[in-house]
Amino acid sequence: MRFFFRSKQFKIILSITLGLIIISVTCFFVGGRLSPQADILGTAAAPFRAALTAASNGIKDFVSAYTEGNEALIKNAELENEISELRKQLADYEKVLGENEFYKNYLDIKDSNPDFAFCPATLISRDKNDPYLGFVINKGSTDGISANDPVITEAGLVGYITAVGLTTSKVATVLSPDITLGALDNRTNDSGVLTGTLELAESGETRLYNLSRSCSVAVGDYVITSGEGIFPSGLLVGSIQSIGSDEYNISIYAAVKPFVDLNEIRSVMVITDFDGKGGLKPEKGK
Amino acid sequence: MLQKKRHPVLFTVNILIFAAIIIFQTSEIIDIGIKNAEPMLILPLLTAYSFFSDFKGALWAGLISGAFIDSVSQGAYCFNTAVLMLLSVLVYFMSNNLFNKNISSAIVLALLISALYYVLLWFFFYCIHTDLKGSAAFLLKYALPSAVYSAVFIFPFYFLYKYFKNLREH
Repeated sequence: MRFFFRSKQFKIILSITLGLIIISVTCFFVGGRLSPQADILGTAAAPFRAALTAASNGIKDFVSAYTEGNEALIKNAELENEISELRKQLADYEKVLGENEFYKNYLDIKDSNPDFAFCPATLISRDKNDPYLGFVINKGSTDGISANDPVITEAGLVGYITAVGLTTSKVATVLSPDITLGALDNRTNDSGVLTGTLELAESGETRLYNLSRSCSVAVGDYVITSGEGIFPSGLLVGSIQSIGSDEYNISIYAAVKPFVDLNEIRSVMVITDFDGKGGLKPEKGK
Repeated sequence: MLQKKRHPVLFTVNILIFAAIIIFQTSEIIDIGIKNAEPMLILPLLTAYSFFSDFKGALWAGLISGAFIDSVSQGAYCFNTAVLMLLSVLVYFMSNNLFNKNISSAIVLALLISALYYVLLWFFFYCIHTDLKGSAAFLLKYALPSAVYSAVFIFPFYFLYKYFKNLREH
């Protein structure tokens, strides 16, 4: 064994490991950036991932059209085989129509929040080891995205940017315990703190805790951001599914189901700028 | 002087296999997860590759695959780069010094490597930061089932790389 520790192979392994530890520590203290080697390779692989994700979404749509028994879509698919040119035109038309609908919904948000600056992005890959459904989008620092930028869809809040690369960024969702944001009950204005737990993430929910015992929140109420922390105020988060008391009976908490279906996200908007940006940063978790 | 034979076709095929598995692993093409068990296909692939490879091959395969996985993993800076490199050289050393080169050894190594990877992932990202209940839940509900499920995929990769080894030698 002592010959191994003197060998050239051991020295190579040790020096690479030490180098990676130094990079990790540097990235941790700098914060919000991908490590250099992951950034370079992630940037190189991004177009392939985007193409494959687009292809797999197309296949999923096609399969779901059949399995859901949508006769019109099946008929359309049969006709598409016969008239390929028309199919292409139809696909282009539907794509434009979908995009128009997508941007129209954001325009409504933009109208009510003129201070918001948006950057549209597409999901290109998921971290399958992350039970909180974190994912990677196809936009990075070259598109004006920076760490801690909020991420939304037309349905509501998705999460925030945890790390930025040149052309890709990682997003942590509202299910993650990394997120700690101030939130309000839209009906009663009762405020609390929203953060995720592993148990609730399994059922696709997150937790609004630190609610006063005298509050009057009810199942079905909408939860919105309060503007504390890194998120602007008034963003829809989800609806209250159940209410419980903490283990010491000091305060109550509510399980919140996000309005956004985090399993089915394909496109998102990153809010790159808004009035009051640069609030408290989320606590460093995972 | 004995000169090492080069196999550009096998080298290219290897790169394509790794690229396909990495992109499959990090894209939403087909979900082959069963409940909470999500297989990490790169682990049995690296095990099979390092099992028949030389030191440099195992080292580079672990490093590059790890860097690709780091580019999509939440919270990880160099975790996968370092761990996959260390695990693939561990497979190289164990397969050359402690094990016979047969399918039983490959299965044991695949289970060991998958378990080690998930235990390290749990230790660095859940054990330290999450409460006891949450970290135990991750270990038992996600990590261990995923480790066992990942190791199952050693069978196709083992026979593939055994075939490649035979091609190289003849």
